[in-house]
Amino acid sequence: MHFAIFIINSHGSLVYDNTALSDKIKIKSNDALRLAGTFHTMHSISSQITPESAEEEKFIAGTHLRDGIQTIESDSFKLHCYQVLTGIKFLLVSDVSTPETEMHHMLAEVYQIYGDFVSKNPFYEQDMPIRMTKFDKAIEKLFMPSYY
Amino acid sequence: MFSKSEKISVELLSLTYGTFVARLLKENDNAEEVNLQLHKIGSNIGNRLIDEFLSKSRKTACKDFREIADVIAKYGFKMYLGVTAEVAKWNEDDTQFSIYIENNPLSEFVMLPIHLQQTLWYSNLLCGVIKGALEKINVMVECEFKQDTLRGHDSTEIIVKLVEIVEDRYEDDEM
Repeated sequence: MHFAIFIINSHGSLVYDNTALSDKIKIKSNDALRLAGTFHTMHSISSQITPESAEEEKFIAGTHLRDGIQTIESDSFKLHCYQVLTGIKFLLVSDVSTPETEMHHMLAEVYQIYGDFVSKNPFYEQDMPIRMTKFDKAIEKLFMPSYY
Repeated sequence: MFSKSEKISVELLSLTYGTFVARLLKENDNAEEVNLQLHKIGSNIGNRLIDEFLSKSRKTACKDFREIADVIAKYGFKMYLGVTAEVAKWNEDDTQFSIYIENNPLSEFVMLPIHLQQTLWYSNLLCGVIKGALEKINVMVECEFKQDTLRGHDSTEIIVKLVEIVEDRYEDDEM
């Protein structure tokens, strides 16, 4: 079961949050913003303390995106972070029994929807909050296919 | 991966692009200016297109500039224009290469009027797209046309030159 999605842009501000996937998480929009900022910071610290491996040094594009936090696990939830080469982070909060591969797969799908509905929307200004019903619908369809 | 994506007809694309360039030429009397505008528009397109490209091609980080060139020519051109391009003419330190496009779909039905043959780079949008897309993954390049069959040259050639690869840094606060 999935609880919430957050999308953080490359500068660390929250551009999209959806906690309506289930009614288990309730979070005020201001708190969500703060959370996203904090996560972005933690992620960047974690990637800075990641030891450099010989293999990584070979990559030229995207070296600045050395892997940071990928998963946070607790007794009651799992959080998976999928960072793409352009610096956008997609976060998914799910229950503990969800396998990470599934979460990763879901976020890859979300990224495709982002490419289709957000990037291609000529009225969307980059790095601004995403408020689009078509995007919302596509996300809903992905996570709650039984409704459709 | 290419079979899944939505397709539109080449005619529609090239005719739309044609009217678009014609309109720009009408609004600006200077072809140089049109070149610049096409480049700028392309760059804005590239900025947005990169996310779709990465998500659908499932490409991960490239090892070096050569791999970037390959991905652009083999996957980028294939995905958005339906043709593949050739990479050639590397310089000694691997910072500059040429892309050869054999059948540029954008210029399919086009013949340039004589007074534009020396000034207008008809498909200059492509340069902008390449530059804009790479910019988003922190690879700064300069990109320009060298030859175009529309101008009577033997081939269509785009030169891509690496300027720098930017690293994200977090500066210390000033004391």
